[in-house]
Amino acid sequence: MEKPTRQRPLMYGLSTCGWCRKARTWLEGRFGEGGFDLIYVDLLPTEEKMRVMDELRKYTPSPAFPMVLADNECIIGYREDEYRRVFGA
Amino acid sequence: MTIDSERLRKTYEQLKADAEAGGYHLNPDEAWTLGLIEGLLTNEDRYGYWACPCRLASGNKDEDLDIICPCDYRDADLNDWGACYCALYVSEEVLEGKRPLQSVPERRPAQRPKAGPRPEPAGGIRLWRCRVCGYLCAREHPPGVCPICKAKRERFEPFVLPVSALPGP
Repeated sequence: MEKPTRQRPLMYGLSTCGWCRKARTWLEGRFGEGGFDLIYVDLLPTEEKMRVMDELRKYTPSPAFPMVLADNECIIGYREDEYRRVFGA
Repeated sequence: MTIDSERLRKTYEQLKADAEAGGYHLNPDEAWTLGLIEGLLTNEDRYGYWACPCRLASGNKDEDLDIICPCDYRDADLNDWGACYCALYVSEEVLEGKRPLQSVPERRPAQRPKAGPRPEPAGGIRLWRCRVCGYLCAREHPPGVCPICKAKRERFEPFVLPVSALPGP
């Protein structure tokens, strides 16, 4: 599996998902609204959706949402403990 | 997402009544639960069925059958984690505050068997099994709706009770 390399956190989520909403709120609290990137995978056109899922499979065999990518980190599911560890409170 | 508030409220009341009648519980955090039901209704409009709001649906109903809410994994997750994957449904322990609510790891296999009728084991008593809640019934055809969990007919699979499982004479 590869490790993501990026300075700016990137969250992949689903617009309909409660845990994704919580993750977004956490990241907004930590970085501000414009301080991270957010992609709602369910809202992407089909081809783009496939491309993104292939991309996510580079980091994990079974992608799930929310999925937060940061430098060397890939956090799957709403994991406040992991967010704190990686991003600081 | 723009779901009419009356539709949302009505769905919530119905779902809650159905859940309680079957011995299940919706998450008592109403804002959380309404948010998920909004997601379910969004998916109903988008795909034509209640695809799980916390999983990426393919848009192909046969492929998504196992993640139509209530999903095939709900009962196992309620048992192991006290909540379904979305935390739309919670266990009694969580409801009563005896167990904390936490995020639930995905148990849906990444590689799934192709949709379609599964081979039936030979010999025994033919039953229908609800894949969502395990309800068994001995009828010619599966019920239109599961009387326990309200899953629809297509969620039933043939189930053969081996004669050896029956008590002897």
